[in-house]
Amino acid sequence: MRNRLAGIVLISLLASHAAAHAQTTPPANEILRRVRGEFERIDDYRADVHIVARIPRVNVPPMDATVYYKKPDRFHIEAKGFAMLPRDAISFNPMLFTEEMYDAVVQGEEIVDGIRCHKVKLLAKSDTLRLQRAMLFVDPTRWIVLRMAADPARGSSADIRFTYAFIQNRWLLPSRVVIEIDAGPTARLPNKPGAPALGDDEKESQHSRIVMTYTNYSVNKGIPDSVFSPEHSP
Amino acid sequence: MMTLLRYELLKTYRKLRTYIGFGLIIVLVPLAYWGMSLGGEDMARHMTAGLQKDFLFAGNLFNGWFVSHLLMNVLFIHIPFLIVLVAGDVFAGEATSGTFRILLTRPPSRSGIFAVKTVTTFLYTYSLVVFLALFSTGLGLLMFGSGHLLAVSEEGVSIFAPDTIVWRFTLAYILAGWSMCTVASLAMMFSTFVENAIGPIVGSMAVVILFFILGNLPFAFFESIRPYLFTTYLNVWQRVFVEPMDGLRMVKDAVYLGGFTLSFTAVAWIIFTRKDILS
Repeated sequence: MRNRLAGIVLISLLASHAAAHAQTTPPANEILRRVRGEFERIDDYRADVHIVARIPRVNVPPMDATVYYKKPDRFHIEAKGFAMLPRDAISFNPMLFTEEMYDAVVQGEEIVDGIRCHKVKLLAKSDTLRLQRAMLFVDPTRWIVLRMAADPARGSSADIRFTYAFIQNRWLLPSRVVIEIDAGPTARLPNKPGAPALGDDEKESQHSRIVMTYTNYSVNKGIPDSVFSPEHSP
Repeated sequence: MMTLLRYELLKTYRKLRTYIGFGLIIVLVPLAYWGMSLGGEDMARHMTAGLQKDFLFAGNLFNGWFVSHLLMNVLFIHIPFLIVLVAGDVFAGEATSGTFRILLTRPPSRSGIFAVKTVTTFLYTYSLVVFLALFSTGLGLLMFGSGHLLAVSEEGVSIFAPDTIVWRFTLAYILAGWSMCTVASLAMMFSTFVENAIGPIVGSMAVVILFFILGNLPFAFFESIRPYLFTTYLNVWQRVFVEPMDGLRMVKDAVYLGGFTLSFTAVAWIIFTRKDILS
């Protein structure tokens, strides 16, 4: 009798825990809807970006560029001299994470920068999308993506961490983005004829790290469409 | 000695042969740039194709610095041909024209004459390199504008900010001139052996080509002899365009080149000072 009672208590405890978890973790599409909702308030922005890149076998000086964004998915980059910016980070746009474009599923929780985040797995519905697979780590209080593990159709997979700042006390936008890219870019560079190919251990150590710092945001001030015309594209 | 040097310089720069190199540069550089203006942008894109899968590029990497650097890479395989045209003629030419007898009966010593001929040869070498530097970068910047420099080497891809490019080009051309002096001293050495300039010109070019080929064969035996070939160090200037710059390696290479130059010049001096002048 005592054993049966203990079993009932245990089962009810587990059931209540599961129910509580189900209540705190919304469905994946609801999470994405809330993330989009935060970003939806931004019609356009312009920001200066300072880029410091450490890429094996590629030496680039610190670079400066200006990024323009206009709803829903238009980006334009300008650089006085030259700048190279990680594709998956610079064109990060939660507005694209829609039910029409991606299948989404919640895959538990994980702590990112001290915050317990919802893990949302995205799978592209079309093979024409650049971002084919991604794992988003969403802050459940502010509904922003703190981390994204991106697996694009072309190029190398990247782990992107976002730090946000309140712009004019109204909009949460990235202030610092750190991107870790797998060995990809360097592995494709030409080797001297006869030189030995890179070993697996060497490839493992060939990670790229790019830090982008955003400043001078100008949000919802209106950007003319001509800025995004093909003649202005990099 | 200065008077002797002045006469030697006059003699060298009055010869039409001296200007073949300058003329070739004047013809070749605009032609190369014209060709690059038609399809060179694709070249810059191709060089960074691997990176462009992961990165968006903004700004123009196809500019005056890029084409000048590209041309420098291409031409420095051929510049030795232009150097030996004059350096191979410096002693043998006098023998061919029969002016040595008169020259050596004058008060200046053989060593003095040798010294001014050597200095003149090295001055010619540097004048050609400086002309190439000014003409190719000047025209390149005029035609394609300025910007960052994209340089691809065995070590990888380097992109240099505009404020570091001028001193890199200056240092590269100083080192390029230094390496060309080694080729010039080789031709000068051969020039003291014979009495006809064709032999030293063809001979020194044959040596340069042979050593280039031997030094680039990817087999263990040829790799073991590579350090003893002067051609291994001729591209010392290319290290200026690699980041991080290996200063110690550059100094070592420059010292080796200096050693080869000194050795060739010493052999030439020994032969010239002990030679029977029969023509």
